[in-house]
Amino acid sequence: MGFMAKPKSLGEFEILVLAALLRLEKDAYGARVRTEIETRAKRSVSAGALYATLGRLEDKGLVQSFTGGATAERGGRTKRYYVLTPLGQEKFDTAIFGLNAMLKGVTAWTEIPTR
Amino acid sequence: MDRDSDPIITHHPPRFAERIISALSQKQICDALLGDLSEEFQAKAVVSRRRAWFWYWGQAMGSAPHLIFARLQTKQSQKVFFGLIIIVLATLFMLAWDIIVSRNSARMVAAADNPPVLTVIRAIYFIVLSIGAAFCGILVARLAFSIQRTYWHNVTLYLAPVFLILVVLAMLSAWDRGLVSTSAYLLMRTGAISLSMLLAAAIVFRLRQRR
Repeated sequence: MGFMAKPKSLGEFEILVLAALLRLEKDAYGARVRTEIETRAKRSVSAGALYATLGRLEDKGLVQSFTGGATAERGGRTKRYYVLTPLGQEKFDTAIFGLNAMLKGVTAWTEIPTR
Repeated sequence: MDRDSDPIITHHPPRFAERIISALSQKQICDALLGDLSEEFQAKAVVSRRRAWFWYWGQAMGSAPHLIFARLQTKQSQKVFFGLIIIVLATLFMLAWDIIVSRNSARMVAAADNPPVLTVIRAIYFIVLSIGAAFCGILVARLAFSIQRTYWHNVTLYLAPVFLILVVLAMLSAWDRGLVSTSAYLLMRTGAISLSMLLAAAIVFRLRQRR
């Protein structure tokens, strides 16, 4: 078999982050995204891991960010909101399509785990 | 303002943890990241300050490796990384000079009881050490110093770790105190390292500011 370049598909955590951005729509900033992933996916996430992933997704052109307002409870620090770009949406759709296709086969003989 | 009536001011996140995150995170996300953590800290501190404090430290420690890894992937950090390799090589050169050249010569001279020659050997080592430390200072200042920050802020963030490494290595290399080094000489060489590094870095920083 010849040499094959590694496909640039989304990782599991990247899919979770993009899904959280889609769920939160215009209110998708760091703290909300983190809470969303922790609540829904039951997965503990550090803020650093989240921002590192968001930065990587932004470098790939899958999300874009803009600065929001500052509040007193944030110590006067600004928020950074994230939204999916069309390319990000396309990549996310592709990943979910593949995942769904695979899960259909799996759910035929086992149950979807619930927590 | 009455502090008791304002929980926002009463509960301040642990400052040292904030500084760690601030030092490790990239400039463009630093503000938002600290703001997010502060926001969540406020909410948790209303229930329990101690749990909020532990939570914040947990976040800081959990975030550190990710933030470091993200920083290492930037071009600026890659430059710093190569700079550090050069610094390590320069340090190894200084150590080799100390152990192989200076100390062996000093041992021979001390055995022959010839203090003037010993002084010359010490002086040569002193100069080599100072040039090496100045070279490290120039390199760190060129690669890592930001003109948006003050000189001492830059020194604390970037030069201090390199300085500590150099001093520890210089101390270790001077293990055989009876032959080459006395306490005063150790102090002098530490002073030489710090002065030449700080001075060289200050010159580079000033030149970059003028440009």
